[in-house]
Amino acid sequence: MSIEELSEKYFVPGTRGYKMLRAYYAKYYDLFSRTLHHEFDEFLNQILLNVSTIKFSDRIKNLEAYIIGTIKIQCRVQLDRALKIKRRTSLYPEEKNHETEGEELFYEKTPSSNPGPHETLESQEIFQSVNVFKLTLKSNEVDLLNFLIDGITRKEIAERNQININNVDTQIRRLRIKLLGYLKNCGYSFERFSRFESN
Amino acid sequence: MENFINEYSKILDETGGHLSFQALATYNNLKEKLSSKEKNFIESHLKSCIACNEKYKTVLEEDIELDAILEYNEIIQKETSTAKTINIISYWKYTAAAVIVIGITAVFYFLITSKNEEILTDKITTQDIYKRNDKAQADSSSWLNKPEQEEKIEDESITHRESNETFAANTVLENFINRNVRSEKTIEIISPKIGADVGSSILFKWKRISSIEPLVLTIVDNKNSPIYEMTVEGSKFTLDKKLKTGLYYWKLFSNNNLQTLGKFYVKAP
Repeated sequence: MSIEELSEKYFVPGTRGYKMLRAYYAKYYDLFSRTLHHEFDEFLNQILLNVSTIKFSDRIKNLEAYIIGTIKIQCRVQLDRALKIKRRTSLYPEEKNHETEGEELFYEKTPSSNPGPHETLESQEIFQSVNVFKLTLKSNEVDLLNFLIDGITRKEIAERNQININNVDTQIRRLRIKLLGYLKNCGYSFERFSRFESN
Repeated sequence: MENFINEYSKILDETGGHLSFQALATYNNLKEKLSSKEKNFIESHLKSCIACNEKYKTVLEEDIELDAILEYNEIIQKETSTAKTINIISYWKYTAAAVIVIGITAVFYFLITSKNEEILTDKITTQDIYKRNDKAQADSSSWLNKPEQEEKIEDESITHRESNETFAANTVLENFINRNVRSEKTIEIISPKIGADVGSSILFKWKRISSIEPLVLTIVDNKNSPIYEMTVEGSKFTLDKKLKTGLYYWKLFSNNNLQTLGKFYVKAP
């Protein structure tokens, strides 16, 4: 779906997506307007940009439900980023409490050779990005990725699917190309994940 | 790729950290896409962390609210489209009803007008017959015998005369009046003129166009019965014999060939 089609269906006034985004922005207006998006149009355009990078698979059933779901996720992505900016700045120093301290401790646990402020949300962004990436895959590719995430070996994958292990390697290679391409489109530089590759 | 996935799996093994809104939203909206480890990453933390449970409840409530907005919008859109559909259907219904009414009206109109035409036609035919019958009774000759083209009623007296039997035109002889019997015009009548009233002395005068042999002049009544016949020389002849009132025809023959024919009326004194 092109960005124009997406915009026309979900992001112009009168559409379902537009009304949903309007309501969500209104709910967190104070936070968004002071941090990331001073106006609603900035908020809307950012989410449109993020959703348009997803090349939804042709074989997805009930595509509209997944698009709406992706929009909801992207709303929370903006919310998390706004909260992150809010914590970094000294706008609301009095709101620092036990919960935020817990989050900071967690963020320090992320494996990184050079921990910095950009690492704080990275792990959960990867979680969100990888699962949104699955919307661009065919069902067998999703299964393969989940097998790999779950730690299932290539041999076991070949046995489960009753295919040659060379075929599994080929599929993994294709999946890698797709994943890196997707992450690059999302704005993640390869360097941010290179440490994963080098380890 | 495998290193990336391995590192990612390790992140998922560390369930002690708090969950972000986007992670919880991903779990809530893409649960069927998650691997076992990813689900466990979320669920195991939710079991133990009250704060993240509250966050997850917030995400759930927000999603429910957003879905309600979507459903409301969908209902509004459906109602709008239904209203539009109803309007369109109503439009076509009214159009169809109007077409049917117009069609039925047109059918009735044509049926009624065609009947009137038949009635009028019948009346004319009947009346025509009556007129014709009346005329036939008033006139001694049948109206079918009357010449249609050459007879011109110019005078009431002629009309009155023609109604009388002695003045009735002879349809056969009438055909020869003012016609050249032969292809070449040989004689041109000068007097009496066709249909003229004559007195007791009748002057017959003609013009010979080509020289022909002596002529025989014959006077007949309207029944073609000979009244007078004589051979004439020259171009004129005067008849002093008194004729009865009525219609007469006079002929000029040459070698028993009719050259010309005229008619005249003898009026009452």
